Amino acid sequence: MSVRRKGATPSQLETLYRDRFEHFARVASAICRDVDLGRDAVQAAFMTAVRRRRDYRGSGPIEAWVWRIVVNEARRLAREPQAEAFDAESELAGNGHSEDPLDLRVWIAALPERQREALFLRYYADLEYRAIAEVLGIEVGTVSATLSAAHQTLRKRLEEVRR
Amino acid sequence: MIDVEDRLRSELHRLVPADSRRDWAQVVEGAGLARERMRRRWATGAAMVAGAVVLGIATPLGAALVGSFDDFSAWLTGQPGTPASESEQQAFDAANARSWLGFPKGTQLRHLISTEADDTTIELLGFRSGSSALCLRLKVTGKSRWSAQECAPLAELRREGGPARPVIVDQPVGKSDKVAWYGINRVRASNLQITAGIVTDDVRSVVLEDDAGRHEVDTSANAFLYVADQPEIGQRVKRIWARTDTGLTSIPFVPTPFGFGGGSTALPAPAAPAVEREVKSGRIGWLEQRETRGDPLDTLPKGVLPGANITGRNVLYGRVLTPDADRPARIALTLNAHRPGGPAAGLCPWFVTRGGAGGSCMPYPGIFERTPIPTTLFGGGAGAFVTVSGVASDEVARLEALLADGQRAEVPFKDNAFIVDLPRANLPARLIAYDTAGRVIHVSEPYRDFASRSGPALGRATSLIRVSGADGASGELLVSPSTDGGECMYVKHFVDPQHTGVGIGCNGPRWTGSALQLGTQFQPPRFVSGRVRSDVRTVRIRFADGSATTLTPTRGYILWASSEEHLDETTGVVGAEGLGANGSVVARQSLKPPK
Repeated sequence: MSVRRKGATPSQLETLYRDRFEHFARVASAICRDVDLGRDAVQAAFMTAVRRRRDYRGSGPIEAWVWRIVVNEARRLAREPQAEAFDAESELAGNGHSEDPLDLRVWIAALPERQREALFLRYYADLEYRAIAEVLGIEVGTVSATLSAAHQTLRKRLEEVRR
Repeated sequence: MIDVEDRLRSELHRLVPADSRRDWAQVVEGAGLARERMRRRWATGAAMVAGAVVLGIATPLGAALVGSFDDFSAWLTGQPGTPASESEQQAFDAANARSWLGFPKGTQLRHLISTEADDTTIELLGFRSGSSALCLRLKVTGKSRWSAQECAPLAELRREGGPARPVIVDQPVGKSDKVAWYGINRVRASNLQITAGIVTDDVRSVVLEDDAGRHEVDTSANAFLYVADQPEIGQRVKRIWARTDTGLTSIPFVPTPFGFGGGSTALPAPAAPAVEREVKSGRIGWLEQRETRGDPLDTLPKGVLPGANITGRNVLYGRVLTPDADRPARIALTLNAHRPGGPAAGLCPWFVTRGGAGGSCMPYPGIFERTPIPTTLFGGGAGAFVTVSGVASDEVARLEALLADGQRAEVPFKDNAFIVDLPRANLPARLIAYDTAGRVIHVSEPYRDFASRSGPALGRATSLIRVSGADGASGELLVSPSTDGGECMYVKHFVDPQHTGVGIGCNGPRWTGSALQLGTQFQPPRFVSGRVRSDVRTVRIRFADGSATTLTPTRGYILWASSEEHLDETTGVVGAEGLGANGSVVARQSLKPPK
């Protein structure tokens, strides 16, 4: 079967960028665990998307194609060694507590990478299961199972906190 | 049951703030769309040549105005190079306006040199930040991409003079396939390594020597740019010369560190001037009295201080201070209590830049009994300078840096906070504090470069000891050869994702110091680790309740993790003893927290 190359136009990408920037940035920041890195990932991903716009085959929504690039760029940046965040174990400043009263950040950080990414795409990007599957390159059923597993872990934590 | 989806959605949105810093122009530029459009429009490759033309015709405007041939007057008073493109300037202005920590408004970006290597375009731009610093900005686009910026204080350039000054040194860009282990670090070489700096009018070229040999690069617009293509792991520029009509002049320079080891000057520390008035205590009055100096703490964007909740409930008062108005750096200073509603007990200065923040808390006002200028050293990357920042007690009226060669420089100092850049090539350096009468009240210990004499050598670390403790805490001690023929020790500890880390220490082949060299993590200690001399056969860890536990060192190292029963102040670790073969005590070490 031959695939007709459709390509994306810069104006399509610009519209997507302007409309959905905050969603992209939020997911990328969550993957990178750093707001500035997340933004860098989105900028770099869109640069890549513009450069490779002719590679877009038109077989799915253009947004899913861009999401894949954003997630890949965020993963790449997350793996790159960053300037070491200063971690003063100061009894006075940190008190050993997270700023997040539910410690949700800690619990999400402890989830497997695929569960984390599926969560971010679901809740930050508001993507449907099918779109998440496309972005992560997995089956729709696997998305469902992945999110279910993440929910189960986090529900347990949220219920513990409520008690 | 709770509605986990709704709850998660709201909690997740709270965790990661919305980011609306759109910049489509940057995307267009980074993707080369503008160039592509231009190429299409003109149907020629003219744009490709433009960079080379700029390199050839760029002339230092300042040189014509000042005409001095032995200092950096082109940079100090003129405007070398050509104006950056309109889009470049706009992008810079926009980014600067977006940043809460921008350079002064109206900062003019200048295009200096551009070159190409490995399908990558490297542009060197420059600008003066107000009246205090000269900054070089690297913009790398193409196969590899990067942007980096380093600044040099103008005061230092005035003082040192020419003929050349590296500002960005061995900045790595991209990643190559070359990898190697150094201790616990897997090191990958970069695709490119970039060194750039400024020169005086009379410098025709700059010669740089690195592990690949000597390389001569032409100067343009009072600047030079050297790109090492596919450098080896750990490759560093080692020496630099400036070529003028009269020959080669060696430039004071130290290589950038590699990992935890690397270059540092062999210069002795400058002699400390005599202290003319002893100061044994101090306070910061305006902070205690809650005066509105600088800016409020909420000036800091959320998340700028990772892992440190300085705006949390234990902060009694705090402000964001600007010791140097021309510099995009701040000091966030807070007065903290041990517990909500408690008295002031901690002074927490945080050095904040656009790249992040670093700092810690110190006992207050006790810290001023030890020194009137508690400081922190930052730097060690591709910059030719290290930064010393800190706070000073009310006793201090003025601060001066004393460099290794004996030169002195005024330290920007306001509202009890200071920040100063010290040239790595002129370390060790000291800070001198003066009182209002101009008397020396303190001379700091010498600040040395980050590069230590000993660091991890080539080779992967091996695991010696693994332990597990209360609440799922775990630790691992590893060792690897050090660059000076000794050994490096790595102690990894994990309690939870928020409380984890690794400590690294390297020692030479000969034992120096106490027979027992132990450290602890957390308080009360969750881990005790360290090395012991060969005559210590067992280590006894003592607890506050009088009990003890005994360990046998493995190859001269110990690692111990606390069980639940010793995580209380009344039962926690208080000390250790090293016992010899006959059971006698060879050495003792207190492991109580400092008061």
